[in-house]
Amino acid sequence: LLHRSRHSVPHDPCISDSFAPGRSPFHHTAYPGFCRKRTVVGEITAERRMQFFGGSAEVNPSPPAPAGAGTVLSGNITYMLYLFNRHGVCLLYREWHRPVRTLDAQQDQKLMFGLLFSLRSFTAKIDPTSVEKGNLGIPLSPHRLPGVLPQVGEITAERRMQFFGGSAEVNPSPPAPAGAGTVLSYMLYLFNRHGVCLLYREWHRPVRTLDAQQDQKLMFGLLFSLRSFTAKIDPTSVEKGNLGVPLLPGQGCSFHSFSTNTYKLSFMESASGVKIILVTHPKCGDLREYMAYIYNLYVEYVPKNPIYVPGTAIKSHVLVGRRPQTVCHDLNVLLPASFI
Amino acid sequence: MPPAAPRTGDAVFANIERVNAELFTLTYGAIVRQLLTDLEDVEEVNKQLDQMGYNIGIRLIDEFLAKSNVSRCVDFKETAEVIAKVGFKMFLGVTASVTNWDADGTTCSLVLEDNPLVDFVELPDTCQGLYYCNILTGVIRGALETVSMKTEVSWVRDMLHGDDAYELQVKLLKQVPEEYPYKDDE
Repeated sequence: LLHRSRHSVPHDPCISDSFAPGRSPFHHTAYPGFCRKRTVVGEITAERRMQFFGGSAEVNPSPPAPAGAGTVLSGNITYMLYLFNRHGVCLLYREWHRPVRTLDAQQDQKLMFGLLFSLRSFTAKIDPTSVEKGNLGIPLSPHRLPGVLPQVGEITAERRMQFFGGSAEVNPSPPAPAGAGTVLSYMLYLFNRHGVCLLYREWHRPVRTLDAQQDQKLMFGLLFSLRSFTAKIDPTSVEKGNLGVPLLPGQGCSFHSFSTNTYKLSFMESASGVKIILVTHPKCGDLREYMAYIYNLYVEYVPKNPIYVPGTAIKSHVLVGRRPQTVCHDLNVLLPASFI
Repeated sequence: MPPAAPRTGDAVFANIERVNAELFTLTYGAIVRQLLTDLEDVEEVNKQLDQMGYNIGIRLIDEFLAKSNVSRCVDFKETAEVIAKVGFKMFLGVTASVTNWDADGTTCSLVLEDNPLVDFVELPDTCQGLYYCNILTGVIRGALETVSMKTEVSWVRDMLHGDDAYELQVKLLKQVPEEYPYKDDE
């Protein structure tokens, strides 16, 4: 498998008809033997898709990227590949670039599988648009959950959570936003370092299954665990605590978003432990600047307000009245330009 | 990607809103004067100033992080540098220098040559035990506590007591990581 000669992409009979050469910089896989289908940016079909990224130069040198393919990162783009079956058995594990390893292979694979298993049920649970929710903890069958799409074309050097597959029949994606009239941001949470929800705003949340208190706890807990998981499996960082040992805010890699086919969750944490969570339409691009903007707004109106008691919910009329318009307006107007 | 964190406070200082230095100095002087009148005991006043500084510090840290865009400091040495160069510059308009590191790297001294709080001030004989700038110790302590570092801050040299500069000793006691806050079964 490893040494099979490379096919150049357009001649490979396995490629589905929807592939458009030149759209994705990541044409080439290390395993030409697998039948692969690629999502084209913006096109979501009802089938499950496996998506592979990039190629590594040492094991299987990538053919040069075709001209016009967009930005290509040089050197190792792919770090690791895991393939699990439905029973949690790791069928395949390959690594191309992993400077640091703290667990033995067995534990590492278990951790990875466990992480994704829990994540799938969490992401289904907090899905604001879906009616289909199990109770947290009940295993979901693979077809009945919001599929998560990888963001093709937008790869940065930092870690991103990526998930595979999608099942569009249960949760069809919302129609692409037409313009300023469509609501793009769904919910906003602001937590302080002690887990107190300082601010919660929603603009578009058709379904609510938990009461506000539990919902906020769930959200906080999800992100708290996610941060420690992502730091733990970071293949490039030397600094790792043991799993379960609380992390300092900012320590480890900075997880900043994940997408499903129904929503995108963006996360930002300051060194002082203030966490901003923004749930938006999945087509939104990188929202870090907007979250920095929200953080600046928070700083102007909240800690600087002498009447405000730190650690309590924000009741500032100026902030609360102002924010939905400002943030929503900005997001609605500015984001269409940054769609993938 | 956010821009690289500035290691000097000059850029931030240039962009931030400023207030008249005399107004600031005189307001602070009025606070200290009033505390002395209300509490009458110099030790009590020192404690109050520290407490006030603490309350300021826990709020100030968010503004500092938002405006200066510094990323998480790798170790305490970097933290001390950032406080001295960026923090002091941003809020007081003066830079401090970091000296006297101990062997572990957990204690250092921040030395201020110039201190806007003490313009026009002379301590009378009745208040010789007063640490006039004690608010600064509280501010540093509060701010560092919010970024998970428990510290002890105290004055080593004080110009109002006849020394040649202001020297603050900052000692890191421990790093306190975030605990999962919900203790119930949920």
